Amino acid sequence: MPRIALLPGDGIGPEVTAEVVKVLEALRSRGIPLEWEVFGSSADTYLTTGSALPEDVFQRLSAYDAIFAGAFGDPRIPDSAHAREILLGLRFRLDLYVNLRPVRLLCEEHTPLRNRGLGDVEFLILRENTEGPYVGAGGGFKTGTPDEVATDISLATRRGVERILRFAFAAAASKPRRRLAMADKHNALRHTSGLWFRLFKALKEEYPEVDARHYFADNLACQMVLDPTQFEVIVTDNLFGDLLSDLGAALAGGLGLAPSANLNPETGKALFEPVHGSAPDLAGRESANPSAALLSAALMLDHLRCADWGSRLREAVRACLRAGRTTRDLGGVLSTSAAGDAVVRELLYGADSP
Amino acid sequence: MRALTLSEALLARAAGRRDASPGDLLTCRIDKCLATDITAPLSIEVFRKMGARRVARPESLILVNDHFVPAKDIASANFARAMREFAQEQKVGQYFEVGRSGICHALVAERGLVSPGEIFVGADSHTCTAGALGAFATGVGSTDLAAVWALGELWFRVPETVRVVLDGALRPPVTSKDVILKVLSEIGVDGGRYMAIEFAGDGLASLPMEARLTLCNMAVEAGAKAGLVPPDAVTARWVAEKGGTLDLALSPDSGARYAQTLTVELSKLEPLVAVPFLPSLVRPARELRGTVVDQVFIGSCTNGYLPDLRDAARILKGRKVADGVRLIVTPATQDVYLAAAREGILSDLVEAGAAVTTPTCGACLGGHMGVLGSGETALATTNRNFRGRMGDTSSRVYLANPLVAAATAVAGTISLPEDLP
Repeated sequence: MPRIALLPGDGIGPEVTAEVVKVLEALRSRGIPLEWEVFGSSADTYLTTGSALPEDVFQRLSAYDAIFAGAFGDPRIPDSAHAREILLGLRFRLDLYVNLRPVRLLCEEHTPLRNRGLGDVEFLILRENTEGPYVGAGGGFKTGTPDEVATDISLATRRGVERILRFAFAAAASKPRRRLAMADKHNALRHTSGLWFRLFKALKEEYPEVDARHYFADNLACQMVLDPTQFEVIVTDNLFGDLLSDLGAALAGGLGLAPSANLNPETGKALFEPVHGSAPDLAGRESANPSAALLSAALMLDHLRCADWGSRLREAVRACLRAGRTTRDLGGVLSTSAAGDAVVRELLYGADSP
Repeated sequence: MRALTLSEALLARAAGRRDASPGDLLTCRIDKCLATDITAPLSIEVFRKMGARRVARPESLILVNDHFVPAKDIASANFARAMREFAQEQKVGQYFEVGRSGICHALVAERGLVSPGEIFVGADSHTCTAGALGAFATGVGSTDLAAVWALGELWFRVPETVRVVLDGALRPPVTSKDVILKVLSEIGVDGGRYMAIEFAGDGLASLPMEARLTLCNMAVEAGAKAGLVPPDAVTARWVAEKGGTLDLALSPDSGARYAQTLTVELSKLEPLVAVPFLPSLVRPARELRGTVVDQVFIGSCTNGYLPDLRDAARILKGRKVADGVRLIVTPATQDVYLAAAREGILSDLVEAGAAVTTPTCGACLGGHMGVLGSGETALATTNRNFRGRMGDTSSRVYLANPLVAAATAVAGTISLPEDLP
């Protein structure tokens, strides 16, 4: 039986996670075997023990088939050290090297692009998740003086780049248009991006069925806005992926609707989280939009191979959004909980449900 | 769990349940309850007989002077006095005195006293008006209301739901009054008996809140328990402007089961008139041209809102009420009255020869301020044309929208705006 660890987190995290729990309960009522455990506040753990991810907690978490995180960010911890520790800690220690960021426009009116409709903004961004400049290699010197020096070293390993590229080629090969876009900056970043480009060219030979094209990352950002229809799967490194995936989210209605998955396809370990933050100012007001959390849960159901419930959940979220049965930020009038109920009922008993 | 209509969802939650099916008997927490100067005295009597001393939740009570105010006789003065004293005794915050009041259903909407998602009962049959906000709103007897005062809850049988889908957009001089008359003509005065009428469709987006209040107001004329409009952006704007909260708002589920679904093509509607003596006896206004009237009444909880008065003034400005016809206009609330004064609507109406009264239910129910004499005929923007509704049992009432009413006042016979020179 698939086992899920739920980390509700801070701010609106617990509210949107509660809606995910409703979905899990609904699936269990339909005979889908699922088991889950809700973990306590990592901010509290951090404040009492000095660590958000103590070894015993990490060991427990790593035994689950999937981890779902609500949102992290607590005003008591201004630098969000606990969030970094837990999210980066899980990514690095579970080696979740694929950051999967689907970009899909669910309602025409959500895109800021003119004359773009459903189907025009629909692609998958794969961001390398364990390397790049985010590994914490670097340092400071003469800090606070006029001569201050600061560095962050961007890391790219042959193994690390090759595995995400292979995952991307395989993902593209399974898509209808078999189209892959790889973004780097090997014209400027000759070493790291150079490695990316060389491995990309080599793998292209191995996957002749994939229509693989190279873009400089800056151009790719332009192209995403100018003509998003040309993309099906985009793969890039950690830094560019960070930026491009948020741009993609904006094209499809903003971070409030963006789901994400962090995967290690070999070990099967996975972490799912809505892209939005903890929005402490919205917390406790039942006004947060649970859509991104529910769409992240849909990715989790895909991962756990719960038949086609992942797709059904996405369709239920989409049906509710299109009918205006959503929270105020997207033109609805519902509370977080009522919006979650609407999705659950749509999932189980919607006009189009089986 | 099952997919729920809006009223099923609202009643289930108010009963602390996840689900409700038509026929279920549920005890629901009542968020707001209403009584007026003619129903509160009865409720007060029953409340005392029950042995109750304090109302369960004074903040949920709304007491409105609207039917026979300013007092039309000694009996109504004493009714109003009984309610006033009860309000003081029970520390009811939402007590509305004449001059700061209005027809209760209009007042409730305009002051944000009832919010989307709430359960609202009132000792007046047109309490269903507030369903326009997405509340479950229904009329109850004075005895039931006394129980609500004492206990804060009431039992309901969950109604079946009729879905009325509004397609397209209205074309002037057609208004939402014609939409609900059309529905009544199709299902009849008992076609919605103990059902909820839930409105839906893309046509709703173009209907402002006042038009929705008109729709839901007359749900009861089909025998319905409630009329409901699922809350949307129009609702959200209204709540932001008038007060109230969206915290309890719910929507119907797409897979909900309806007893019946009816579609109204808004663009194909023409102005309609309900002829004596049922609101469901509906004919195109054009077929009734030439029907002589003695009185035209524009007002009530159906069509006494600011957009209604604007419509009427647009026709009447620069024209005169026909000889032999009395035009009586009753703004629904003090706020409507004031806004109409500021906009110059009242001067247009008075210059045309209208008698403009203070807000009251008076004329609509044949109480005061426009009672019909024997054999007289009236065209009114109200909701009921039963025998004797506005006065003598030999009088006759035609129901129409405010544009038709204004045109009729000018012509002296039932007319459409386009008929006027």
